[in-house]
Amino acid sequence: MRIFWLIVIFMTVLLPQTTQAATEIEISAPGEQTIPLALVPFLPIDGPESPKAIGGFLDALNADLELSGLFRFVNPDAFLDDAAQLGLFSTQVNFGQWRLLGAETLVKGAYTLEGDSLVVEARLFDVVNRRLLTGRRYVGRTKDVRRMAHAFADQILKALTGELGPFSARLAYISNQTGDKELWLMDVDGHNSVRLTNHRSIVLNPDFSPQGKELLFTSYRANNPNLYRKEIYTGQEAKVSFKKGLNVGGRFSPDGDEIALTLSKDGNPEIYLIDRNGAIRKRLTNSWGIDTDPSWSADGRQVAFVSNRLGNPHIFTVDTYTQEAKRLTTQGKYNATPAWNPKDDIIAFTRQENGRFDIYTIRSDGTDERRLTFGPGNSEHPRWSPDGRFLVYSSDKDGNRAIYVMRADGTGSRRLTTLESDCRHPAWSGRW
Amino acid sequence: MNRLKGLAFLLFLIALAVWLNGCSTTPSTPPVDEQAQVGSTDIGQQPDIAGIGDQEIREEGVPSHEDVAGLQRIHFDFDQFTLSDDARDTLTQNANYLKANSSIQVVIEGHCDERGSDEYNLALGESRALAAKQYLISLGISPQRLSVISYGEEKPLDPRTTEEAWALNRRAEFKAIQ
Amino acid sequence: MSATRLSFNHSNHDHPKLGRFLVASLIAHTVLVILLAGGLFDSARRVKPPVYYVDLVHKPVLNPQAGRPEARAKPAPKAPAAKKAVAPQPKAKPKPTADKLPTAKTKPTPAPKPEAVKSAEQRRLAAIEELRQKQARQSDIDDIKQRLAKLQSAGASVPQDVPIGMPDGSGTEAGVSVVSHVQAFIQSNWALSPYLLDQSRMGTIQAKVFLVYSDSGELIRYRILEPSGDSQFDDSIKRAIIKSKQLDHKLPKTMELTVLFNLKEMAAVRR
Repeated sequence: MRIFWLIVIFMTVLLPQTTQAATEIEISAPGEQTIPLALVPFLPIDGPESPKAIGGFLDALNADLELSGLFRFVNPDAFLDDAAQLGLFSTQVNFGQWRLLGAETLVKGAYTLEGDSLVVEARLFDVVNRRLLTGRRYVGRTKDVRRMAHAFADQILKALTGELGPFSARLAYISNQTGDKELWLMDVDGHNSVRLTNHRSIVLNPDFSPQGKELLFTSYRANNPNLYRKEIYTGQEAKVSFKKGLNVGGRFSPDGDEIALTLSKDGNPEIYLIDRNGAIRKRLTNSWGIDTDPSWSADGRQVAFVSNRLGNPHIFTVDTYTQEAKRLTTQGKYNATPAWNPKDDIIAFTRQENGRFDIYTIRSDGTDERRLTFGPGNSEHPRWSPDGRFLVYSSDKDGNRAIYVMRADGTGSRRLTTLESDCRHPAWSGRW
Repeated sequence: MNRLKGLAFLLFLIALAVWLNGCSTTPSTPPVDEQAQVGSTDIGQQPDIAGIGDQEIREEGVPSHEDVAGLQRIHFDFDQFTLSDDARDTLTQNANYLKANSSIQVVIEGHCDERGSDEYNLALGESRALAAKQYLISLGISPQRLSVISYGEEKPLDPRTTEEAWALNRRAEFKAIQ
Repeated sequence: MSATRLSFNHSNHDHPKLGRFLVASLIAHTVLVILLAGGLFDSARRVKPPVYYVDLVHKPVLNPQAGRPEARAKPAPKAPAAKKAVAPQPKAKPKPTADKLPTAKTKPTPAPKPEAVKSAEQRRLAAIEELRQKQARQSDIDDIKQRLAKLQSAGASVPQDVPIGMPDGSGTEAGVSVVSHVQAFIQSNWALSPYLLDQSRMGTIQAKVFLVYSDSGELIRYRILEPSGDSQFDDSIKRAIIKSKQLDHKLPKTMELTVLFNLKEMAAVRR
């Protein structure tokens, strides 16, 4: 009898629970919008520590990962004894310790220094799942240590996002450090700058070829703004377009086969397509006004440019097949220097308001216009990183004009060049 | 004793209910913690580190341009390449000078102030120079004697950032080719 | 609700302990009624200040009651010392009030309990971590104390007789909603950078996960019902679940949850 009652009681208690559907919860944002990363100082495999040799690695890696915006760095002061353990296999790492510190990802590494030759082993671990995400060994000389770090930063981004980072690429830019505006090249963090031209004239507006280590630029060396092509390693230089008037704003098509540029050979600046040797393939624009500053869409089908055909300078796009032009920007009175994102249908451009330039983005259908910079000073010449995640640009916000880099949403801005000379017209190379 | 039996039965019922409940929603129950995996290290990438060539480039024989006393520069309004009345008067004087000195070949330089984008200003400078050229042609100067070059904002007369400096820098200059 | 019924049903039996419990429960309920009535009567005459939910100490319950989340101090010690009285507020564990109130749940409120530690090494680490967190908490608490003191001196007095509970509570138990507690816990363990994602998918991306927690707060099993298809997004959710395999509080009962992860809030901010 008692059992019977117990059953009855329990049915009344239990049944509502068993038939009850699972409670639904919605979580509409992550608690943390960065991934907690522990970046551990690398240890010597054997021999004494050599912070002078390896210091640049952590420094450069830290800067690259910081710029990526993906991570929150776990405070190194909190590191426990696993940070001092050399074990680099996922079986040797004390993941529990890193979990305790709140890390979800972990970078550990080791190095061997023999004279001037440096071998660095670097690994990225998933702390939560206790597994290796990527591991790389770099062999080089001590002066290459930052470049090893950039290469590893690229790999970290690949492991986490599926796409390589752009940190081991190069930036080309124009600097007047020698007194003349010449073409220069540097690493993405501003280190290892080197001058590429010695025209002792005016060099302007470089662009990298998508495949090779090759640059387009305009120079007044022959007393006309002509378009040149330069191979970076051989130093070989060729005149590409030297028509009467402007031969400026040369931009390689995404397949590297064609060059869009502004020519004014017929007395009015228009956008043309030429081949790599300068032969005209097609005229893209035909208006009474100024048409200049082309930039290719990622698929190579369209070209964005600046035109004052409707009065003020605005951004337009033109279809390279049909030559049909469309107005893109409608706001503002002075829009210039379009740069089409290599991965997305977003176009960065500059707008002048109250005498100052700032950088904006807009979708290629004319929607979703956003302002990325908010002074002080002028921010101009935006160009995308090859992965479309970052923008490099020039600004005079710190005084002299210098090269800066920021995330595609305008955050994380950072100056790359010193303020001792005037630097402008940056361009980001493809994969190096 | 009876109570104990009842308790046992109860426990059984609970277990059954929980089991059935679990079964109805999750036929398989994957482990919470994923197995620690020992990844194979795909180490071995050699960083691409190459030296950078920096070759000296020799200067070509470049003609030099010289100011000519009799040729006056003209000025423009912001973002404009239309000729003002003042500019037309100056161009008329320049045309007279060129007629009197028929051996002079002239290059017309178009310039802009620093405001505006560099690339657009190159085009604007070109348009200013061309506007001056067209006007000189209309005054009877042979097009063969005239050429144009735009320097955009690259060669300001006055590097300051003032209205006066900008007004001075928006100009077309006339230089003789030697 | 069912948990409450459980206690009454048991008390129908001639079990001496249960009988005693019933008496205790009745007394406690009476106290509650008196307290509630007094609170309501009192509060009717004065305007209640806005209610804020401070997630410092709480006990997850199934049916949280309406009211204020902070512990209600006894009028006597609180009234005189304006500055000092603030101190215990944020720190106060819900225990004293919970004891007074007849929540049918018989288990004592658990203090945040560290996971079972095995080696001395781990215990040491746990201790270090606890100290670290305590220090971090202490600075937060000091800050809150200061601000509260400021508020008090500015004349914004806190009524002492508002019931403890959630601002949006409608149940009978003192504590926070167990569902929102679990939600907050999992959310705090979910780390995902917007830079990892295709921005155009931000508004629509979602994944659905089924979770079962035991009443000890342990994740018994989980299953991803509907993955998002984006490996970064799905991985981040898996990490969040693994990090949430032990809740910091016990639950009133075994719970089955369907959790929908999306980025609607983030997308709204970033537009």
